[in-house]
Amino acid sequence: MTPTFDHLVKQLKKLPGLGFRSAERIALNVLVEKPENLTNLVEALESARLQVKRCSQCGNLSEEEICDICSDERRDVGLICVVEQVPDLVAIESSGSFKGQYHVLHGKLSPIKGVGPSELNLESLEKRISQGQCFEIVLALGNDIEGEATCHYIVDTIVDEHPLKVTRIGFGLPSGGNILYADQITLKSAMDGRRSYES
Amino acid sequence: MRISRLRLQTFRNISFVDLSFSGDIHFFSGKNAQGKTNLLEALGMVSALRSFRAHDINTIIKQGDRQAQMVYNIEGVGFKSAEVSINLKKKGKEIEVDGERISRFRDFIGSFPTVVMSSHDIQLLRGSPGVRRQWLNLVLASSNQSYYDNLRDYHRLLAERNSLLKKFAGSNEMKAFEAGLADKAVRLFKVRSDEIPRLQRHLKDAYLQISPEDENVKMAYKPDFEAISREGYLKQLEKSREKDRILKSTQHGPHRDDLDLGLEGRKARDFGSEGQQRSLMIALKIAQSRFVEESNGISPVLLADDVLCELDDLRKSNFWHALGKGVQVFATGTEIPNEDDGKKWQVFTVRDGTFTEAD
Ligand SMILES: [Zn+2]
Repeated sequence: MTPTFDHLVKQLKKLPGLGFRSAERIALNVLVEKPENLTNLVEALESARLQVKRCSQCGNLSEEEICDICSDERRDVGLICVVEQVPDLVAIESSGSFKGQYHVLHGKLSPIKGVGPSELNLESLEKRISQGQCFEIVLALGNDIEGEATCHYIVDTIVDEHPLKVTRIGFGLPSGGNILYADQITLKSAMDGRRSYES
Repeated sequence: MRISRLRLQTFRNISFVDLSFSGDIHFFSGKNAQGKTNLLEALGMVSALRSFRAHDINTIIKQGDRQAQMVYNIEGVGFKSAEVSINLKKKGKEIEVDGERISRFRDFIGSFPTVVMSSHDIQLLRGSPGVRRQWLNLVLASSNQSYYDNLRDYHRLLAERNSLLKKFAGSNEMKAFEAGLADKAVRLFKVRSDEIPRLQRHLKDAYLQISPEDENVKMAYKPDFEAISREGYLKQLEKSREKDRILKSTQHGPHRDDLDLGLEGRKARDFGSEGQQRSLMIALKIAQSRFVEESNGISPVLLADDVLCELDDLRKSNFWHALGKGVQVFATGTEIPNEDDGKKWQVFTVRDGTFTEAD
């Protein structure tokens, strides 16, 4: 329509889950239909950009160097639950079934999609493990093939020689399940029923 | 099972048809390229959502249209009746059974089995191992759901491993995917080892019923690698890793398996006469049908594209005898079959995508 408008649509279209039509609708909405919301949106984006970052310890969202969970002294530092994404952490938190700390990988291994170990938040996991406070790693990744391969990689490469207990949460789900789709009760029983990991 | 009614909309050259089927055997007669095979193709799609002749599903949608629609009314064992509707769109497929949307295709595949007979079947003898493997996978997947799951996962893992090979990824990353690959390989090997002899028994029986000559038919599993144990296959993967890297693909595993089809200890594709080969093809499809029925308790519908007319009288009568009563058959041909078959066909004449029932 106009060069600047087209540029905006193009940028919006890069966001996950947005096709050309939805990108166009959003652009029209914020520019023409509801311009009064635009200032708030720009401000929210700008302040989020400046303040929200990854927790340097676990990868969770945080406005401090260390997130609320990592700095909560009541939580068990000996237990680290490894998840793929922040929403997985939120789901487990809301099920109230876990009182340890987390580690967010921000993805799972998938060579086809170009995701290798260096794309994941693994280096800081290795650092945490070698500090020696942790005695159990709970693998709470999805049980699809990439999730399983990532578990295998963590156990083989990151945990390696460290004398740790490694457990895998049980699933009340068929193969290919993602923990985001599990309800709170299923998640709680999956966490309680976690089993020793066998590679 | 039995298909009692089929409705198609904008399916290849067919704008719209609504056909009700009476009796068990139905014949579509007409010149070539009028739409006979299109109808069989539509019937076959109810089994695995795949066409037996097109790789690209988009070619099925009638030119200039957005979607193709199929509605089947099915009667059979285990359910009184079901209405299945498949909607093919350029972006994907939508399936409903009795008005309920099926979101995972694996829950659907194999529920409504069909067996296709066509001139292409000769490729099972003459073609590459891939043709036989594809047929074997179809038979096993439609009788065993976990086989389908394992096969799908195996191929995804294989693709991930091949992608790592091309990137010269480290061995730790390779091992992470090889672990899953080995799990699936062992399961595929086990099912194939167990089930091929059962398939072979059905083939032997069916061949003796079809062929006028008294030959022994053989079907043997030819695994590329005997993935008996996980450790064994893992070792093989590690051993061939360097070679695989150079060739940029995984050289050994269930994706390279083959079936040996033979007559009296010789390979049928080298030695069999044309008549023997034809008997073998028909026996294979009857064996497939019996195997699926034995596994799921549902007798598949037979779709015979242009093959029954080509049989000599003896083989034809043996075929009907071997098939037994109650199996529904949809057949096509250029000529209406002789009345002296002793069969009461429901006949449709096909012209330019329209179907007229003959009196
Ligand atoms: Zn943290």
